[in-house]
Amino acid sequence: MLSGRRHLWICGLVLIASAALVAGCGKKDSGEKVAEGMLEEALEQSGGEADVDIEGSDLTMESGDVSLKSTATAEWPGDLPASVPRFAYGVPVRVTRTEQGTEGTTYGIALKEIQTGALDKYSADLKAAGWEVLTTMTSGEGGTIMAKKDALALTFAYNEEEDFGNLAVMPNAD
Amino acid sequence: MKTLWPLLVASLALTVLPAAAAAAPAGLGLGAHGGYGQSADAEEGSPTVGAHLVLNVASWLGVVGSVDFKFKEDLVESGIDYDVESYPITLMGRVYLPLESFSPYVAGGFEYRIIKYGGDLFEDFEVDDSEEAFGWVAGAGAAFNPSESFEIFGEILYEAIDAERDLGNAIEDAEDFEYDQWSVRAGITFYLN
Repeated sequence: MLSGRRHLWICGLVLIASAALVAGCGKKDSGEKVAEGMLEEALEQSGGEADVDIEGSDLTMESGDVSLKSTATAEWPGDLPASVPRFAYGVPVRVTRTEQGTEGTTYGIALKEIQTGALDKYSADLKAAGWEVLTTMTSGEGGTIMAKKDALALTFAYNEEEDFGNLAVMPNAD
Repeated sequence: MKTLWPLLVASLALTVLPAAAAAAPAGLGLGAHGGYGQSADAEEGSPTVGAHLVLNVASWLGVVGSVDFKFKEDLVESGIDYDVESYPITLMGRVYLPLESFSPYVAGGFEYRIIKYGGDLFEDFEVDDSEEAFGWVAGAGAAFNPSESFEIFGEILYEAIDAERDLGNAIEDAEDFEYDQWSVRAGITFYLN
């Protein structure tokens, strides 16, 4: 069961966060600093060194052997494995990378302005690039693709009504 | 292939669920996530996949309940290989600090974990091959809202598991296994209102 110390830890964390919330209201720059401190404190209390950096719409967090970096960008991630075909039927709005140790990078690419027929076109692009498309599903409001190639797995999903899609690329654990 | 399952679930949620009219994610949300973590004594890490419910009770406070499946990890002790897979069930609070572009948050809560053991020892002898454990989880993350009804989130969590490891004398070595771990998770949430 949980020890009393851990109960105190969690209560303290909530109090720190609440204080930070109040202190940070209304000031974007100071809010970012407060948020950085709050997140770092939370991660360090959890068990080790942590580094959090917030710059406008971008966030970087590192702790232990894991890291997360999320960037607001309209650019296709240049470090994505070359075997992943560029999605040319929408515009990236955010790229999020997560890593743990040497297990490889997982990419999440949030997309907007997705064109009609994007599902079929990107599925064709994947097949042309040698990907095995495992499933392609469509519904009235969107669709999904699941595919794999060598040590990579990929999913694409979008909702037309929301004009939002997400392309995720990750190491395949097979 | 196994890493595809969380995204299949997420994809289904994204595709099948109807669009909502809410101006911003608030209230009740549901979604799917995937992640990766390595137990302290595991030879290597494994993916975790799961579904979650989010209830944002205020602009600065949310409650998240999640059920996960953590894929098999290999642990070796005294030359004996053990397979361990588990089902973490987590209840966490999120305290948001909304910024202009996204909402960082700290998270903390409790975890109940069902641990199942495998390996030759468990196949060759009749011993209890599972246990249940309580622990705590804490960390930090951020939620991004690319549309009115959807949230993308990423988080780093530390999970501390107080496993009893009462598996019988036949596998005393397993009593020293540690499941504490850093993990990283990302997912999407669809808000119903």
